[in-house]
Amino acid sequence: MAQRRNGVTALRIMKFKKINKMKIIFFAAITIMVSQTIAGSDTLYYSVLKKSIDLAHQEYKLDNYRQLANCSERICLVYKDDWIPYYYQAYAYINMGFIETDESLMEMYCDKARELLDEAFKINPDESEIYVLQSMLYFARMAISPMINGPLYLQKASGALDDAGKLDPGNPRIYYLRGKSVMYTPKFFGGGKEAAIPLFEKTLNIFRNFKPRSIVHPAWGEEDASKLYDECKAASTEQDSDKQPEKQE
Amino acid sequence: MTKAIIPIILLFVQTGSLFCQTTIKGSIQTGKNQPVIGANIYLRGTIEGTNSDEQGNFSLLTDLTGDMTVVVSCIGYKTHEEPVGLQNDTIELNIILAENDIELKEIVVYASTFEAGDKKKSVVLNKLDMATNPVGFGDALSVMRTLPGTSNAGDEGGLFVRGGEQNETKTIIDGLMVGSPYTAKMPGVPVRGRFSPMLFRGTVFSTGGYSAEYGQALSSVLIMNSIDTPEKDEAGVSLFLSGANFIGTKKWEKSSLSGSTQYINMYPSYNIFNTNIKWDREPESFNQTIACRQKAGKRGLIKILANYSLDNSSMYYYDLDTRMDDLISLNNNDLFIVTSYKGTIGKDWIVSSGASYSFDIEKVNMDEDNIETTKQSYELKLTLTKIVSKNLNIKFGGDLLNKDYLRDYVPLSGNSYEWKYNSPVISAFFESEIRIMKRISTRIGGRAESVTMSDELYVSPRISLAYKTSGNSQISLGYGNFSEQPFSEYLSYNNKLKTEKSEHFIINYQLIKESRIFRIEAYYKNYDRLIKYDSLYAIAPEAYNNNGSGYAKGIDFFYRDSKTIKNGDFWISYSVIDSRRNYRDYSFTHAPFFLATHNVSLIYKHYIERPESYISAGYEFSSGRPYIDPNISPSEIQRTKSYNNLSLSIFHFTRIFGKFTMIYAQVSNITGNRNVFGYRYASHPDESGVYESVPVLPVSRRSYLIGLFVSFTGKPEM
Repeated sequence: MAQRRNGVTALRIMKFKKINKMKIIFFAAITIMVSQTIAGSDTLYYSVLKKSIDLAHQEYKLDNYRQLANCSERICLVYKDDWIPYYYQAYAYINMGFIETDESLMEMYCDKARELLDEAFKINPDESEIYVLQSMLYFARMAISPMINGPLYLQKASGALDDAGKLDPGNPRIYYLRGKSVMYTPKFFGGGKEAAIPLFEKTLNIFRNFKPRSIVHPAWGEEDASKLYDECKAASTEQDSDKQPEKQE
Repeated sequence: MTKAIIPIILLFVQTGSLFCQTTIKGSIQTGKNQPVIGANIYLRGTIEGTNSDEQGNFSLLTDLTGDMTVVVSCIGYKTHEEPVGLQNDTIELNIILAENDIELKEIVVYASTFEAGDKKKSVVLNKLDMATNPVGFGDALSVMRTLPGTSNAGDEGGLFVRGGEQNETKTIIDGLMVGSPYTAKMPGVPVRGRFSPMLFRGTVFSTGGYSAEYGQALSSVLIMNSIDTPEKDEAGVSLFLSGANFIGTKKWEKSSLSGSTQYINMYPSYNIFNTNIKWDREPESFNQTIACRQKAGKRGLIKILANYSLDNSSMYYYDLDTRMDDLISLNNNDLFIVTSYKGTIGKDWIVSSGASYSFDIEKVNMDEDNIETTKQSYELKLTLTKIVSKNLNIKFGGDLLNKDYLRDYVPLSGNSYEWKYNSPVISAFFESEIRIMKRISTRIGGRAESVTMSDELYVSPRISLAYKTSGNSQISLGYGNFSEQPFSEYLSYNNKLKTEKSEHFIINYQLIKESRIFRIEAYYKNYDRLIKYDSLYAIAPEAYNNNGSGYAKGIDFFYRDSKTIKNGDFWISYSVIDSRRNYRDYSFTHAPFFLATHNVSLIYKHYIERPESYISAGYEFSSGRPYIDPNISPSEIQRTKSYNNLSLSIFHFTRIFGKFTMIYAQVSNITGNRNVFGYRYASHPDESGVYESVPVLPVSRRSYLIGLFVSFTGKPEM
């Protein structure tokens, strides 16, 4: 980690020196080669992507995710062997699918996300986070017409989370999505707010000690998990006192 | 590594040198002068780029110089590339993006097919629809009767498709034909499907023009595919007024085992509620299904499915000629085993093969006369599919179906009779799906069948064509020749009877958006070489011939909508049909007795959050069914009054001792309509010259079902 940071710092310092362009290229090439041997090739786009991710997470709206989709698309085209930009592009489209209300657009975003996930799986088939995202994609598909697709995609979503859990049981997003799915699942299928509480507790416990592998490795979910946890808690206490529960969302 | 270095260098250069900059700005619009919002505008090979704003405008600042390419991409549009020379100035770009072509995802010819339960987008009904189906008590297949093209023949049961009889629809499990898909028939009691679609991954119901892979069906096929890999371990019990059902699934690394055991006894139900039948012994049935799957190799899967069922009942049946109650008893044992293998050879060959064995023995005792019918059959099948390209696949295969039939008639006194036959049918088929043009795909194939017993060899062509009118809609055309050996009882009297034929012409339009489906379909069906017989000499071989014929034509509508009403979901089917036949012992050409001209079914389901429940209501309407009243005229058709049935089901979800529980209650015919399916007449007039008659009534005027389902393993798989 420390070594990687040094590589980036070296580059940054050089950026501010207005010297001959050829020299820059020459030095950059050397520095990059050095930093690559030390830390791998990924680090350079990290700050660009990080900025875009942060912007997306500022407010849950279409534009924010659209710029993330575009930014990660540009990175994808350059860093073809890295799963992370594919991951974020898919992540952005899935979220756009959730935000969008036009059915055909929702479908289009989901189809696009599926293609991107396929690419990401090709690069790193053993990445737990990609399975988490696949599960999220099924939830997005389900949202298109829950009455018809609900039961089918719920099952698939749950299967993807199982796979994610096999690869990395310490991935907090697994339990966050599981909790969210249980929360909005009819009791008929074993769901409900009360049933979701232990899952949110688990995810929040993991988040407490969670350190992302880098500044751009997936780290989302904690804030929402804690919000939903509070909502479930509130509902379960209300239910105990036999009051009408507040409306979901 | 070098691949990565160059762009990084470029990135570095553009952010590094601030003294020379180029601005690229402009707007992105559609062909219709609408702004494209959120398009991605970037310089190829760099990660430097920007997005277009609400007005489609953008501005991109770069330090690079030289010849580069500006790329504009946006989901839903074709990517645009524009070469630019960067020279420290401002470049104005106004780009028009072309919309993507309509995407044709796969070649699917939809005409006349309904998919249910499969985890695909084209499904019309899902498993929850089957589980919460309000109409058709105790018959899991009855949900198919809520689809258009089917007739409501409440006294018969089974599927009557587009003017076709029940036996013109064949049930296929894992690619192989089921010998006796329905329970044995008692007069006035509708038959039920032996297999619950709930046990299957998906069901495809084709009401005509189906694939050359399937033969020996004049009207329709119901294709059921058993579950490949269950999602998880499961155990549950269902207890209801007249029986109990246990289900369980155990999953291992590479294999799994599922079982379902069911016992039903209608005694309590018919004693508490009404019944129109005078039972001596209320129907009792036992059903055991076992399914196991084993992964073989990397992509291969072997499946075995076995089903055993036992049915007993006896009733008093009023004989209009002797004017006495006959005691009829039924005992039926049925076994069906199917094994199938599906796997790949090399990269793009798919092989599927299967073998099945079916054994059915039906003992009917009528006033101490015994009729014992034994049906045995086996089938072997091999299918190879080659995916040549995205636009072409070919499929071919062969099939051997051997049927043994034995019918023993032992009267109380006098000679006993025996009829039997053995009939092997060897078939080969070929079929190819081709995408001819971007929007047009076709399925062309044919099936050759050789029937040894009647010394026949024939070829049935099958063609369908689909034209995508938009991303969500298409028009399909279908044509095919279909053939089927005559009903086994007739064939046992006369082994030389030829194969019956039909011909289908179909035109279909459908529009699918995920939560709304609309279909309209018109068809014409021609029947030829149907069996005719003279009822006076019903067991003499020469009384039977192939001189019957008929036709059916009609229009089917289907609309499903789960969007318009919040938490609500409904579908409506309407079929109008005109059909005439002269077959069996008909004395003139008329509409078949089982067929109503208009059939409507409307299903509405509503989800209630608190208390958590599903309410589903179903309304079925059929116009009057034809019958002949010899008191009026032996050559004139009368119509019964129309059939109306409003059913209601409530499913409530809760937990009992922490276990997921569903409590359900169903009532049929809430309004208490006196539905009549037709009339039976005495074969001779009585002393006053009148043919005595009795109406054919439903088993019960109104039925009730209450029960509960408890899952020991959490939510059930749907």
